[in-house]
Formats: sequence, structure tokens, C-alpha cells
Amino acid sequence: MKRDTRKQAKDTRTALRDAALALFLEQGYEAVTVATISKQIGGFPNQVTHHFGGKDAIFVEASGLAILRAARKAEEAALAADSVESHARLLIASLLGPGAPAVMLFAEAMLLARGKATLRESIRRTLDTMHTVGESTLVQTLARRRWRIRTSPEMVTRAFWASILGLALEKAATGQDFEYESAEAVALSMMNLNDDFNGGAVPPKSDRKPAKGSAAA
Amino acid sequence: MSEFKFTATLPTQRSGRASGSRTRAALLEAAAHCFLDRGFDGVAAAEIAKEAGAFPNHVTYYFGGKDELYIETACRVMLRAARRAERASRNSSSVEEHTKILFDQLLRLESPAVVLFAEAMLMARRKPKLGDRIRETLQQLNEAGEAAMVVTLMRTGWKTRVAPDVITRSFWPAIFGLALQKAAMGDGFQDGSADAVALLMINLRRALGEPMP
Repeated sequence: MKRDTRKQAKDTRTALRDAALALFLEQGYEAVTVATISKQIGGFPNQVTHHFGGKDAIFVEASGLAILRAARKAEEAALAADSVESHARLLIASLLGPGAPAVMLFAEAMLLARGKATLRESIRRTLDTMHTVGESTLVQTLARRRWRIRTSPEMVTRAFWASILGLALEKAATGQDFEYESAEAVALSMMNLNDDFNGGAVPPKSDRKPAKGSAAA
Repeated sequence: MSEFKFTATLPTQRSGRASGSRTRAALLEAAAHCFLDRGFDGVAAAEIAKEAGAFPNHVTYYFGGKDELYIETACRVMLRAARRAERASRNSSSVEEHTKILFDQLLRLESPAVVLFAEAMLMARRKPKLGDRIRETLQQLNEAGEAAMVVTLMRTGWKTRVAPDVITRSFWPAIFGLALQKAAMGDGFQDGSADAVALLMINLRRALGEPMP
């Protein structure tokens, strides 16, 4: 009896979270209300408060789920990589392409969590998962490919996620005009950590795509 | 909507370009102070105007609205933070030190400015016309960073494994991402991620010996 109610509550919670995720991805934080979320599952606004504590909390949790799913999809896309270069590029392309709305949502959640201890806990859990899952996947990839890197997989993963979040911000602001040169720079930096990647073989500036006028040699 | 009201009370009493640009500058200064202190949501346009000794409709008149004033402020504050960080790292004796000082400046002393700019970037997502100013700022950050990196390289005689513009272009996204994490985590921010990025940057210049197990 008791277990049934508990299971029911868990189902409601999951349904609310999934409904919220879809709405937030589509309309953004501002446009979505607690009422529209609960309406999606034929429920009442106070259910959101009951299960999550409020709009901010459900937003933070939904966005955490969003970025973790995007990360999984990126890893799947990167399985097809046949070289160090394409591995880094496929990961970045997936997260800044189809995964971008999820990454931006999480970036927004991080700003929302400023100074709010309860939200911070949820963000911390998501970041921890991003780092640990990323690290173990990288370890597996390295073993399978017999690639070696100059620093620890943990370092690479942490640097990777920081860069992805920053790139998503740049993309959020510049939209269509996002300079993929920045994404390419991050990819190049990641590749450079790989021992099998010949850093000296990086093409000179003039050979890389959108050349920028500068005195750098 | 309310723009009609505002246009009726344009600041005609203080005519002339000089006083106009003075008001504009005062608004920007007050906005920097208020937004850095309390963030976008915590500040009303009227408060900024009051602190600048201007009228609330001056915000609309000079900038178009609170959003635009925020973006303009965030870009200026970010560029100023970058300039300061660059100045602090100017006399560094190695690229390692250069990187460390930049990180320390931007993620500690100047982190409110970086977070302000991060928020501006997200805001522009829903309002594409705000993106132009941000794009310009990103470009300036990249160009200034590249120039500073080249100067340091020339002074220290270090060789990079990749071109300096690759380093600066990957530097800024990493800083933005770290600033976000720090904003969210506050005291709980793990310096591990900052260290990782610093290491990544340093690695771009030379191999750090044997790969770790």
C-alpha cells in the first residue's frame, strides 16, 4: 500500500520533470510557468511546489538532466571517430549543435543558482556526474584506441566541460554568427593533449579556414 | 508600449552634445556599479538613473532600455577586466606565470565582471539584436589576448605548439565556463577545474614530460 503511493509520487515527479524539460528547452526559463508545467501532466501547480520546491528548483533539475543527456549523445556520436582529431571535433560538434540548447539551459541554471544553497547542491551533483562520466568514458576511449595523453583524463575532462560551457555562451549570444573558429581552437587545444597528435603539424595560420589578419607568426 | 511617454519628455532642457555624453557616461558608471553589486534582476533602471543624477527616461533615451544598458555595461566591464588582467600579467617571466596571473585575475578579482558578461551572453540569446555588441566585444577580447600572448612569447622566447590565436581563442571560452561554475558553486567551487584549464593552456606550449598513468 505504502509502496504504491511512493511509486506513484515518484512517477508524478518524473512526469513533471520531463514535461518541464521539454517546455524549458522550447520556450526558455521566463516564458514557462509552474501552471503550464503541471497542466502538461493534467495536474496542479502545487504539485511542482510539493515535489520540487518551486520553479527555480525544477528548472535546475531539468537542465541538469538535459546536459547529461546531451553529453551521452555526444559520446555516442564520438564513437564513430577514427582519429584523435575527429574524436574531439565530433564531441564539440554534437554539444554545440544538437546539444547546444541543453548546454545553454544548464548555463542559465548555473547563474540562477548563485547564492542559493539548495539549487547549488543540484548543480554540484550534475557537474560531478559530467566530470566522472566524462572521465571514465575518456579512459575507455584511450584504452580502446591506445591513445595516450599528456595529462590525466580528469584534467582533460574538466578543461573540456569548462570550455564547452563557455563556447555555448558565446553561441547563445552570437547565434547564426557564432565564430566556429573558437570551437576549432578548443578542439585543437584538446587534440594537442594527445601524445599521438603531432603539434608541429598544426597548419600555419594562413592555411586554417577563416584567417584573421594579425602579425602573429 | 511606454515609449510614447518617454519620447514626450526627451531631455531638452540640457541640450548640447557635451552634457548629453556626460549623462550617458554617468549612467554607464552607475550601471556598472549597480549591476556588479546586485546583478540584472536586482536593479531597476530608475535606481541607476537616480545614482547617475539622471531621469529614468534617460535610460531609454540613451540606450533604448534596461536590457541594452545592461549589455553595454557588461561589455565595457568585461573589456576593462581583461585590460586589468593583461596589465597584471605584463611582466610575467614565463608563459606559465602569464597564464596563472590571468586566471587569478579573471576568476578571483574580476570574476563579478566575467559573470556579468556571461549573463549578458545568455540574455542576448532571446534578443538577437543585442548580440552585435557582444560579438564585437568577443572579437576585441580575442584580438587583445592574442596580441598580449605574442608579446609575452617574444619576451620570453618560448615556442608554442599552436598559434597564439588558438591559445587565446580557447582561453576565453574556458574562462567563461569556469566563471559560471564559480558563480553557481560559490565557496564550493573546486579549483580543480581552473587548474585543469591552466594546465591545458600550459600544455599547449610544451610537453610536460611523461604522460600520467
